[in-house]
Amino acid sequence: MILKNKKGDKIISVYWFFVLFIVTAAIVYMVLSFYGEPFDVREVEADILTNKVARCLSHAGYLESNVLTGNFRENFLEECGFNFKTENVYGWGAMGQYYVEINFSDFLTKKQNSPAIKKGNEELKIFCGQKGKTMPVCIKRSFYVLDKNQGKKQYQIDILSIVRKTEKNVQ
Amino acid sequence: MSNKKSGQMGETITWVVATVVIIVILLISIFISTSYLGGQKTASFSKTNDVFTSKSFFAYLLTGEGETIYEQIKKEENLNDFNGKLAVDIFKKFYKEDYEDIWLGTVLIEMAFFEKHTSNKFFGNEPKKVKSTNLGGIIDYPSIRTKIKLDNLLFVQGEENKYIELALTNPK
Repeated sequence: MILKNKKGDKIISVYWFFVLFIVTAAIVYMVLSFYGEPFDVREVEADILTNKVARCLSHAGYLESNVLTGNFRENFLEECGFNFKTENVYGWGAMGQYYVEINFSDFLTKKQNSPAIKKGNEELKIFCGQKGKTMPVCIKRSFYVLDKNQGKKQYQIDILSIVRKTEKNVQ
Repeated sequence: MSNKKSGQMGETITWVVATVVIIVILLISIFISTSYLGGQKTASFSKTNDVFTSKSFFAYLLTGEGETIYEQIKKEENLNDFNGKLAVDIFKKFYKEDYEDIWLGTVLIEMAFFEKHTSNKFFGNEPKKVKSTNLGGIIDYPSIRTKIKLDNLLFVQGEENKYIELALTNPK
Protein backbone atom coordinates (compact mmCIF):
# COMPACT_ATOMS: atom_id res chain seq x y z
CA MET A 1 0.00 0.00 0.00
CA ILE A 2 1.55 3.16 -1.07
CA LEU A 3 0.77 6.08 1.09
CA LYS A 4 1.02 9.49 -0.47
CA ASN A 5 1.48 12.43 1.77
CA LYS A 6 -0.53 15.00 -0.15
CA LYS A 7 -0.06 17.56 2.57
CA GLY A 8 3.70 17.22 2.23
CA ASP A 9 3.50 17.77 -1.53
CA LYS A 10 1.50 20.97 -1.03
CA ILE A 11 4.04 22.32 1.45
CA ILE A 12 6.91 21.53 -0.92
CA SER A 13 5.13 23.35 -3.78
CA VAL A 14 4.61 26.46 -1.66
CA TYR A 15 8.24 26.35 -0.64
CA TRP A 16 9.41 26.09 -4.25
CA PHE A 17 7.33 29.09 -5.27
CA PHE A 18 8.78 31.00 -2.34
CA VAL A 19 12.36 30.20 -3.43
CA LEU A 20 11.51 31.06 -7.04
CA PHE A 21 10.12 34.38 -5.93
CA ILE A 22 13.24 35.22 -3.90
CA VAL A 23 15.59 34.30 -6.75
CA THR A 24 13.52 36.29 -9.28
CA ALA A 25 13.41 39.32 -6.99
CA ALA A 26 17.18 39.17 -6.49
CA ILE A 27 17.85 38.96 -10.24
CA VAL A 28 15.49 41.85 -10.99
CA TYR A 29 17.15 43.94 -8.29
CA MET A 30 20.66 43.22 -9.63
CA VAL A 31 19.66 44.06 -13.21
CA LEU A 32 17.94 47.28 -12.16
CA SER A 33 20.85 48.38 -10.00
CA PHE A 34 23.29 47.92 -12.91
CA TYR A 35 21.29 49.11 -15.90
CA GLY A 36 19.37 51.70 -13.91
CA GLU A 37 22.52 53.84 -13.58
CA PRO A 38 23.01 56.17 -16.53
CA PHE A 39 26.33 56.55 -18.32
CA ASP A 40 28.14 59.74 -17.41
CA VAL A 41 29.28 61.26 -20.70
CA ARG A 42 30.03 64.75 -19.41
CA GLU A 43 33.79 64.30 -19.47
CA VAL A 44 33.65 63.26 -23.12
CA GLU A 45 31.29 66.14 -23.86
CA ALA A 46 33.57 68.69 -22.14
CA ASP A 47 36.58 67.29 -24.01
CA ILE A 48 34.85 67.63 -27.36
CA LEU A 49 33.78 71.16 -26.49
CA THR A 50 37.34 72.14 -25.51
CA ASN A 51 38.78 70.65 -28.71
CA LYS A 52 36.21 72.42 -30.86
CA VAL A 53 36.99 75.77 -29.21
CA ALA A 54 40.71 75.26 -29.86
CA ARG A 55 40.07 74.39 -33.51
CA CYS A 56 37.98 77.54 -33.90
CA LEU A 57 40.64 79.81 -32.44
CA SER A 58 43.66 78.72 -34.41
CA HIS A 59 44.71 77.00 -37.58
CA ALA A 60 48.12 75.68 -38.71
CA GLY A 61 49.91 77.19 -35.71
CA TYR A 62 48.52 80.71 -36.10
CA LEU A 63 45.68 82.52 -34.35
CA GLU A 64 42.71 83.21 -36.62
CA SER A 65 42.80 86.85 -37.66
CA ASN A 66 39.50 87.92 -36.08
CA VAL A 67 39.88 86.18 -32.71
CA LEU A 68 41.15 89.18 -30.77
CA THR A 69 38.45 91.55 -32.10
CA GLY A 70 35.46 92.71 -30.08
CA ASN A 71 33.06 91.33 -32.67
CA PHE A 72 34.43 87.82 -32.25
CA ARG A 73 34.21 88.09 -28.48
CA GLU A 74 30.58 89.23 -28.61
CA ASN A 75 29.49 86.65 -31.17
CA PHE A 76 31.76 83.82 -30.10
CA LEU A 77 29.04 81.17 -30.06
CA GLU A 78 27.87 82.02 -33.58
CA GLU A 79 31.39 82.43 -34.96
CA CYS A 80 32.42 78.98 -33.73
CA GLY A 81 29.09 77.27 -34.36
CA PHE A 82 28.14 76.51 -30.76
CA ASN A 83 24.65 76.17 -29.37
CA PHE A 84 24.39 76.11 -25.58
CA LYS A 85 20.62 75.63 -25.54
CA THR A 86 19.35 72.50 -23.81
CA GLU A 87 16.01 70.75 -23.34
CA ASN A 88 13.71 72.53 -20.90
CA VAL A 89 13.77 69.78 -18.28
CA TYR A 90 14.90 69.73 -14.65
CA GLY A 91 14.93 73.55 -14.72
CA TRP A 92 17.69 73.64 -17.36
CA GLY A 93 15.91 76.36 -19.28
CA ALA A 94 16.59 78.81 -16.46
CA MET A 95 20.05 77.53 -15.55
CA GLY A 96 22.63 77.17 -18.31
CA GLN A 97 24.40 73.82 -18.41
CA TYR A 98 27.56 74.91 -20.20
CA TYR A 99 30.32 77.43 -19.67
CA VAL A 100 33.36 78.31 -21.73
CA GLU A 101 36.09 80.75 -20.76
CA ILE A 102 39.05 81.63 -22.97
CA ASN A 103 42.01 83.62 -21.68
CA PHE A 104 44.69 85.09 -23.92
CA SER A 105 48.05 85.89 -22.35
CA ASP A 106 51.46 86.85 -23.62
CA PHE A 107 53.56 83.68 -23.56
CA LEU A 108 56.74 85.49 -22.54
CA THR A 109 55.39 87.90 -19.90
CA LYS A 110 52.39 85.72 -18.84
CA LYS A 111 50.30 88.90 -18.70
CA GLN A 112 46.77 88.86 -20.00
CA ASN A 113 46.67 91.41 -22.79
CA SER A 114 43.22 90.76 -24.22
CA PRO A 115 39.89 90.52 -22.45
CA ALA A 116 38.75 86.99 -21.79
CA ILE A 117 35.87 85.44 -23.72
CA LYS A 118 33.20 84.11 -21.34
CA LYS A 119 30.05 82.42 -22.56
CA GLY A 120 27.42 80.35 -20.79
CA ASN A 121 26.56 80.05 -17.11
CA GLU A 122 29.49 81.58 -15.20
CA GLU A 123 28.12 80.39 -11.85
CA LEU A 124 29.27 76.87 -12.71
CA LYS A 125 32.87 78.02 -12.26
CA ILE A 126 32.67 77.92 -8.46
CA PHE A 127 32.16 74.16 -8.56
CA CYS A 128 35.44 73.45 -10.34
CA GLY A 129 37.89 71.72 -8.05
CA GLN A 130 35.15 70.36 -5.78
CA LYS A 131 34.83 66.61 -5.59
CA GLY A 132 31.58 64.74 -5.81
CA LYS A 133 29.67 62.95 -8.52
CA THR A 134 26.99 65.65 -8.67
CA MET A 135 29.54 68.39 -9.40
CA PRO A 136 29.85 69.76 -12.94
CA VAL A 137 32.76 68.43 -14.98
CA CYS A 138 35.49 71.01 -15.64
CA ILE A 139 38.31 70.67 -18.14
CA LYS A 140 41.09 73.23 -18.40
CA ARG A 141 43.72 73.00 -21.14
CA SER A 142 46.24 75.34 -22.68
CA PHE A 143 48.10 75.67 -25.94
CA TYR A 144 50.76 77.82 -27.56
CA VAL A 145 50.00 79.84 -30.68
CA LEU A 146 51.45 82.66 -32.79
CA ASP A 147 49.71 85.79 -34.04
CA LYS A 148 50.73 86.47 -37.63
CA ASN A 149 49.14 89.94 -37.49
CA GLN A 150 51.47 91.02 -34.70
CA GLY A 151 54.75 89.75 -36.14
CA LYS A 152 54.41 86.22 -34.77
CA LYS A 153 53.71 87.36 -31.25
CA GLN A 154 53.63 84.35 -28.93
CA TYR A 155 50.42 83.66 -27.04
CA GLN A 156 49.30 81.20 -24.41
CA ILE A 157 45.60 80.38 -24.69
CA ASP A 158 43.83 78.81 -21.72
CA ILE A 159 40.44 77.22 -22.31
CA LEU A 160 38.11 76.25 -19.48
CA SER A 161 35.05 74.17 -20.40
CA ILE A 162 32.36 73.17 -17.93
CA VAL A 163 29.44 70.79 -18.47
CA ARG A 164 26.78 70.32 -15.80
CA LYS A 165 23.74 68.20 -16.90
CA THR A 166 23.92 66.29 -13.63
CA GLU A 167 20.34 65.04 -13.66
CA LYS A 168 20.78 63.02 -16.84
CA ASN A 169 24.26 61.68 -16.19
CA VAL A 170 24.30 60.88 -12.49
CA GLN A 171 21.71 59.24 -10.24
CA MET B 1 8.16 4.92 13.48
CA SER B 2 11.42 6.45 14.69
CA ASN B 3 12.96 5.72 11.27
CA LYS B 4 10.23 7.77 9.61
CA LYS B 5 10.88 10.64 11.99
CA SER B 6 14.65 10.50 11.36
CA GLY B 7 14.02 10.50 7.64
CA GLN B 8 11.72 13.45 7.87
CA MET B 9 14.15 15.36 10.01
CA GLY B 10 17.00 14.61 7.64
CA GLU B 11 15.01 15.82 4.69
CA THR B 12 13.89 18.95 6.50
CA ILE B 13 17.43 19.84 7.46
CA THR B 14 18.50 19.34 3.84
CA TRP B 15 15.86 21.81 2.68
CA VAL B 16 16.77 24.33 5.36
CA VAL B 17 20.47 24.17 4.49
CA ALA B 18 19.67 24.44 0.78
CA THR B 19 17.55 27.52 1.43
CA VAL B 20 20.31 29.14 3.48
CA VAL B 21 22.87 28.40 0.75
CA ILE B 22 20.60 29.91 -1.93
CA ILE B 23 20.03 33.05 0.14
CA VAL B 24 23.76 33.47 0.86
CA ILE B 25 24.64 33.12 -2.84
CA LEU B 26 21.97 35.66 -3.76
CA LEU B 27 23.21 38.12 -1.15
CA ILE B 28 26.80 37.82 -2.43
CA SER B 29 25.59 38.42 -6.00
CA ILE B 30 23.56 41.44 -4.95
CA PHE B 31 26.51 42.84 -3.03
CA ILE B 32 28.84 42.45 -6.02
CA SER B 33 26.37 43.95 -8.47
CA THR B 34 25.65 47.02 -6.35
CA SER B 35 29.15 47.70 -5.05
CA TYR B 36 31.38 46.95 -8.02
CA LEU B 37 29.26 46.80 -11.13
CA GLY B 38 26.70 49.38 -10.14
CA GLY B 39 27.49 52.96 -9.20
CA GLN B 40 28.53 55.69 -11.59
CA LYS B 41 29.37 54.53 -15.09
CA THR B 42 31.69 57.01 -16.72
CA ALA B 43 32.11 56.94 -20.47
CA SER B 44 35.74 57.40 -21.41
CA PHE B 45 37.86 56.94 -24.49
CA SER B 46 41.47 56.14 -25.23
CA LYS B 47 43.37 59.07 -26.65
CA THR B 48 44.82 58.57 -30.11
CA ASN B 49 45.47 62.21 -30.83
CA ASP B 50 45.67 65.47 -28.92
CA VAL B 51 44.46 68.68 -30.55
CA PHE B 52 46.20 70.92 -28.04
CA THR B 53 49.66 69.40 -28.27
CA SER B 54 49.42 69.26 -32.06
CA LYS B 55 48.55 72.94 -32.26
CA SER B 56 51.33 73.83 -29.83
CA PHE B 57 53.79 71.71 -31.83
CA PHE B 58 53.04 73.40 -35.13
CA ALA B 59 53.19 76.86 -33.58
CA TYR B 60 56.48 75.93 -31.89
CA LEU B 61 58.05 74.92 -35.20
CA LEU B 62 56.90 78.15 -36.86
CA THR B 63 58.33 80.33 -34.08
CA GLY B 64 61.17 82.62 -35.00
CA GLU B 65 61.58 85.82 -36.98
CA GLY B 66 63.47 85.13 -40.16
CA GLU B 67 64.65 81.60 -39.44
CA THR B 68 61.97 79.41 -37.88
CA ILE B 69 62.67 76.74 -35.28
CA TYR B 70 61.89 74.12 -37.91
CA GLU B 71 64.71 75.52 -40.08
CA GLN B 72 67.07 75.71 -37.11
CA ILE B 73 66.51 72.07 -36.20
CA LYS B 74 66.78 71.01 -39.83
CA LYS B 75 70.16 72.78 -40.10
CA GLU B 76 71.61 71.75 -36.72
CA GLU B 77 69.94 68.29 -36.59
CA ASN B 78 69.19 68.71 -32.89
CA LEU B 79 67.76 71.19 -30.39
CA ASN B 80 69.81 74.21 -29.36
CA ASP B 81 69.57 76.33 -26.21
CA PHE B 82 66.91 78.65 -27.59
CA ASN B 83 64.49 76.17 -29.14
CA GLY B 84 65.20 73.51 -26.51
CA LYS B 85 64.29 75.80 -23.65
CA LEU B 86 61.22 77.02 -25.49
CA ALA B 87 60.11 73.41 -26.03
CA VAL B 88 60.47 72.70 -22.31
CA ASP B 89 58.52 75.85 -21.46
CA ILE B 90 55.70 74.82 -23.75
CA PHE B 91 55.39 71.06 -23.55
CA LYS B 92 56.63 70.17 -20.10
CA LYS B 93 54.82 73.02 -18.40
CA PHE B 94 51.53 72.82 -20.27
CA TYR B 95 51.13 69.06 -20.49
CA LYS B 96 53.08 67.45 -17.62
CA GLU B 97 49.80 66.67 -15.81
CA ASP B 98 48.38 64.98 -18.89
CA TYR B 99 51.19 62.56 -19.78
CA GLU B 100 53.66 60.45 -17.89
CA ASP B 101 56.52 61.27 -20.25
CA ILE B 102 57.07 63.95 -22.91
CA TRP B 103 59.92 63.81 -25.39
CA LEU B 104 60.82 66.13 -28.25
CA GLY B 105 63.79 65.81 -30.52
CA THR B 106 65.08 64.48 -33.79
CA VAL B 107 64.82 60.91 -34.95
CA LEU B 108 66.32 59.00 -37.87
CA ILE B 109 64.16 56.35 -39.50
CA GLU B 110 65.68 54.02 -42.03
CA MET B 111 63.16 51.24 -42.20
CA ALA B 112 59.64 50.89 -40.83
CA PHE B 113 60.59 49.76 -37.32
CA PHE B 114 64.14 51.03 -37.05
CA GLU B 115 64.27 54.37 -35.26
CA LYS B 116 67.30 56.12 -33.84
CA HIS B 117 66.47 58.98 -31.49
CA THR B 118 69.05 61.72 -31.04
CA SER B 119 69.64 62.49 -27.39
CA ASN B 120 69.27 66.08 -26.16
CA LYS B 121 69.79 67.69 -22.76
CA PHE B 122 66.22 68.96 -22.55
CA PHE B 123 64.22 65.76 -22.96
CA GLY B 124 66.71 62.93 -22.56
CA ASN B 125 67.79 60.04 -24.74
CA GLU B 126 64.51 58.83 -26.16
CA PRO B 127 60.83 58.55 -25.30
CA LYS B 128 59.71 55.90 -22.84
CA LYS B 129 58.56 53.00 -24.96
CA VAL B 130 57.93 49.94 -22.86
CA LYS B 131 56.96 49.04 -19.35
CA SER B 132 57.19 45.85 -17.34
CA THR B 133 54.06 43.87 -16.65
CA ASN B 134 53.21 41.98 -13.49
CA LEU B 135 53.90 38.71 -15.28
CA GLY B 136 57.49 39.69 -16.09
CA GLY B 137 56.97 40.65 -19.72
CA ILE B 138 57.11 44.05 -21.39
CA ILE B 139 54.45 45.92 -23.30
CA ASP B 140 54.43 49.16 -25.23
CA TYR B 141 53.30 52.28 -23.48
CA PRO B 142 50.30 53.85 -25.15
CA SER B 143 51.61 56.98 -26.81
CA ILE B 144 50.75 59.74 -29.20
CA ARG B 145 53.53 60.57 -31.62
CA THR B 146 53.70 63.41 -34.08
CA LYS B 147 56.55 63.40 -36.60
CA ILE B 148 57.40 66.04 -39.18
CA LYS B 149 59.94 65.34 -41.87
CA LEU B 150 63.07 67.46 -41.90
CA ASP B 151 64.52 66.59 -45.26
CA ASN B 152 62.92 65.30 -48.46
CA LEU B 153 59.17 65.33 -48.49
CA LEU B 154 58.80 61.61 -49.11
CA PHE B 155 60.03 58.69 -47.05
CA VAL B 156 62.90 57.04 -48.88
CA GLN B 157 63.34 53.36 -48.14
CA GLY B 158 66.90 52.35 -47.33
CA GLU B 159 68.08 55.86 -46.54
CA GLU B 160 68.14 57.77 -43.28
CA ASN B 161 64.97 59.85 -43.11
CA LYS B 162 65.13 62.67 -40.58
CA TYR B 163 62.17 63.78 -38.50
CA ILE B 164 61.39 66.07 -35.63
CA GLU B 165 59.19 64.14 -33.24
CA LEU B 166 56.96 64.97 -30.30
CA ALA B 167 56.23 61.83 -28.29
CA LEU B 168 53.59 61.90 -25.54
CA THR B 169 53.63 58.72 -23.50
CA ASN B 170 51.00 57.16 -21.29
CA PRO B 171 48.11 59.63 -21.14
CA LYS B 172 46.87 60.00 -17.56
